[in-house]
Amino acid sequence: MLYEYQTMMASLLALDVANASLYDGASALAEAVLMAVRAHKGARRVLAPRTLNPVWRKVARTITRNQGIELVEVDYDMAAGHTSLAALERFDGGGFAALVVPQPNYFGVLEPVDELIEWAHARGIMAIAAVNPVALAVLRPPGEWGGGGADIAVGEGQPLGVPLASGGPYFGFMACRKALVRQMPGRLVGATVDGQGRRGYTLTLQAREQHIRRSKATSNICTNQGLMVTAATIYMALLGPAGLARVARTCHSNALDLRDLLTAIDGVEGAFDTPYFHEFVVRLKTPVGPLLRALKAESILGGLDLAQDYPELGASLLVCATETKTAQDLKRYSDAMARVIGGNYRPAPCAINTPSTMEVHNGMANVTLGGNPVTVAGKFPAKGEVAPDFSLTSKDLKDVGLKDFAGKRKVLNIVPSLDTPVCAKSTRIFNERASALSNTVVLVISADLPFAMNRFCGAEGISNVVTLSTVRSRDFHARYGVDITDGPLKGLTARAVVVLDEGNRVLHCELVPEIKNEPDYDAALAALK
Amino acid sequence: MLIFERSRPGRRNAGQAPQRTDLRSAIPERFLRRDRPRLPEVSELDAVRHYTTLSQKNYAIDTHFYPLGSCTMKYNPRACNAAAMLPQFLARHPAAPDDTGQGFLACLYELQEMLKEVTGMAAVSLAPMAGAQGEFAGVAMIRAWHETRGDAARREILVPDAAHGTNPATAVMCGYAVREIPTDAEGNVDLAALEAAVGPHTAGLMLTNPSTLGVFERSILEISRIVHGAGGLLYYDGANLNAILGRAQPADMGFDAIHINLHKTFSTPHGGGGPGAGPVGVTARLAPFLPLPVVDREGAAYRLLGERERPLSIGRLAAQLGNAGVLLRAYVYARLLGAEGMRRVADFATLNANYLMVELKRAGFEVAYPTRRASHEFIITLKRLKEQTGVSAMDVAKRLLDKGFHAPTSYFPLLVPECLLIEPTETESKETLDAFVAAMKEILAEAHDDPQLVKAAPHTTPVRRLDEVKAARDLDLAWRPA
Repeated sequence: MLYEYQTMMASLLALDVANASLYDGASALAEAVLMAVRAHKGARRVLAPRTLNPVWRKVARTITRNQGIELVEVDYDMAAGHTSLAALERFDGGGFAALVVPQPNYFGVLEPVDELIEWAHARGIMAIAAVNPVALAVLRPPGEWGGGGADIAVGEGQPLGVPLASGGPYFGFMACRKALVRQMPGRLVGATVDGQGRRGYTLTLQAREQHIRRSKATSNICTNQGLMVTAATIYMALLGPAGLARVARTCHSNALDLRDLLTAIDGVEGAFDTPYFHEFVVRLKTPVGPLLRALKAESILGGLDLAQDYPELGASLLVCATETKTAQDLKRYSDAMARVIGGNYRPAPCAINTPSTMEVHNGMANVTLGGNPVTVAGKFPAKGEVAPDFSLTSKDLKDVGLKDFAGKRKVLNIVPSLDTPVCAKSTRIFNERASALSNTVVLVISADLPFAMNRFCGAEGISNVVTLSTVRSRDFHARYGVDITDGPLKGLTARAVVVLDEGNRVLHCELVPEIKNEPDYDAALAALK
Repeated sequence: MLIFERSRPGRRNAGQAPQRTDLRSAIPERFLRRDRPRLPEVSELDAVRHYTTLSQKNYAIDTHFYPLGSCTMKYNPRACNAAAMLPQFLARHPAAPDDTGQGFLACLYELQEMLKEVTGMAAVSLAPMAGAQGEFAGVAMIRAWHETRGDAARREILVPDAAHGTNPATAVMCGYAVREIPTDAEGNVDLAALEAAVGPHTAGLMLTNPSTLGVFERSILEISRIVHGAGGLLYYDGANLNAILGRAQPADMGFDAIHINLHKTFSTPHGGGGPGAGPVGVTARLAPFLPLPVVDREGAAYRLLGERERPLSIGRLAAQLGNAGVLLRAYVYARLLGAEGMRRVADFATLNANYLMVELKRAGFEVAYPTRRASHEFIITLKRLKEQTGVSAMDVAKRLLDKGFHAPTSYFPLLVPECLLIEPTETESKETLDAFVAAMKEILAEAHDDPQLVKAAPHTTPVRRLDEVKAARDLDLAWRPA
């Protein structure tokens, strides 16, 4: 079965030899980088285009960094969405062991692979292809690319019938030219005969591997992803060349249809006008985070927000359409997007309302007031970070910062206003419980004027909290990621609790998703135990 | 026959391929494939029959006793599979936001907590996709630790000469030089040699306990003192955790970083080579370096921590979460066992190994470390048998296949000549162990009475002994039509 798998992959990639698998596509790329550096015997730098999956680049860096190998980024053409040949010219001086060429790339766009391989080979640089195996049923395979074709090809095998399963197990595939086979990591199955001439199969060239070569092995890899390879082999056998081509063409057709539907919406445009396989980028005029949240409330996971890895693209979304989608699915998605962007929309309340790490990353939290979404801008502090300093106005009209509470733990109770029922109650409860804790001070922060805060504390009989006003420093709102920029409470602070230790490191933080609700007092106080 | 040889042009499975007929294309000619890939054209029945038949040619835990030492081939409970393959686990997209996967993240978080509990470590990451990746993470964290303290002179990792090959290979992948420490006649790391080898150049020591020789490292506390005293850190290769699960904690032995092989100790399927999983655990001071992502809980909500929360992390080892399905299976296994069950695992794994060792000794086999009690595995050496009859460990291993048993691990560790490393695991009954001993006794007799029978084994398997020299010399790694 493994021999069949190796045969199928070698043919799909149009290279001489495929191994019996690695852990996943990203780690397979890392192994290819190590392999190219070993084979090159000179340079220890590898060119990695920005159009290569950012997480794969991170993984490759983690795995190769300790051997003194450097990955150097190559820019892409912002109009075309693929690697810029002009940007590549900057590296004409050489000193590189390999160039990684994705096909299709992270944006779904087809790279000018022939020119890229020609450039690399003319300078004695090896070419590592990072490819989608299903796409290769219709796209020209790396072994047949221009300039002599790629030397090594890797990729993620999950598309070949392996379930998504929340991230794994998947498998990484690798193939190479015959001359490089002794540098290839992973298991290899070879055909042979037994003593009576029967055909049989055995692990071979094991002198490459750790159990024989130990510290001189090509890699430390021991297990591979055997069960997933079994699934993929059976998948490819059930589909055959015509079936796999059908899968690829259906993915492509669905993507074309979906892009047409989405770009017909006012405020949505395609980022690149170049050929693509089954993924594409759209640019929006509205923030991506709230859009994705609104789609999620309708049971649609709308795509990948590119802001973190490609801030230069502005509000942009990576969308994919595989053969699993029907025309009705595509229509439902584009209708929902049109409705949300058009503003004709009421979000459903969510059972669990924690902002995901990604949303907090983008500095655009997803907060509602009475169920209606409001935009809250700025960068909310994260657990473990040192909190930014501030200068706020106390009830004595003095300006006060974190240093005035040096050596104490601080509970920042940030509220829209003390003159609304929720805020008063929360302050009182916090006062009671926090005053029971040693070495802790409660700071109530809002945009109320110091006089109003003074009047409030007097009337409520609160003495154990310090009230601080943002009257003189509205920049506090954005600096702490609580700046309400639309709706009736525009200009005020959102409701949040930030707990800091003696060194001002964030022990706990909560941006309350529905402004009318209380914060999670228990969680805040638990962080102080 | 290979699947390609069953192929007939034009044969296809209409039901398997997508049905859309109005296909479009906007891909220019220059990007398109000119020839067809060499994939077989078979019917569904052809494929089902072919792969089912292939599977029946294998020796597997489900069909044979599999005492492969160091691999821990214990039974894989079906409940683990059923739970891990619930539709909402199986169909979930890896990039789906955390708040759409709270159930899944809860399972992973609890697995982290259980692994902490069982090993005594302060923090765990489930990211590494195999034991070897876990080792890589562990050594990379040790390196990161030394680097943040400005201790760049530490360029060497120590490993015992009996260590599994992944240990030195991992050290080299992390940019270290490797120095081997000899093992004494009792199977312990040579303390005097260790003392002489450590110094300001020592980054750390990689160790398995019980060791690859199947015996407990009695001076582990002394080893810990020596390495830590020189400023190095201690890495635990968790391959043999089955021997001590629930009974002893690597943290108490002084280890700073460990990995666990879920496909061994936590009974996830071996799969003919994978997928495995190698979560890592560390003491508090190494926690900031853990590979990403790590599952965190805040109040009632679970989330994945990334680069922003863990700026000192060594980074990511996988594009996604790691081998999530394997983690789920291990989680269910741990829940099935509970704390009491885990203790019984170590107890019975050790009991079974010691019973087998005593019985094989009585049957006439030579135990490699006769003064030592076995851990969960032990080694017999066939050196004398080879001298007397010409029958080697390889021959005995092959003959066992004829008797209906998968062979034990052979020729590892390299220290012991003509060795068989035998690990029964706790899931085997006394009857199975007795049957194995009986088969070994038969082979021993055959070796004396009819050595050629053993040397030409196996006789009853689908193929006879394969020509491995030819396989390497006349490399044939992919089928081609005649």
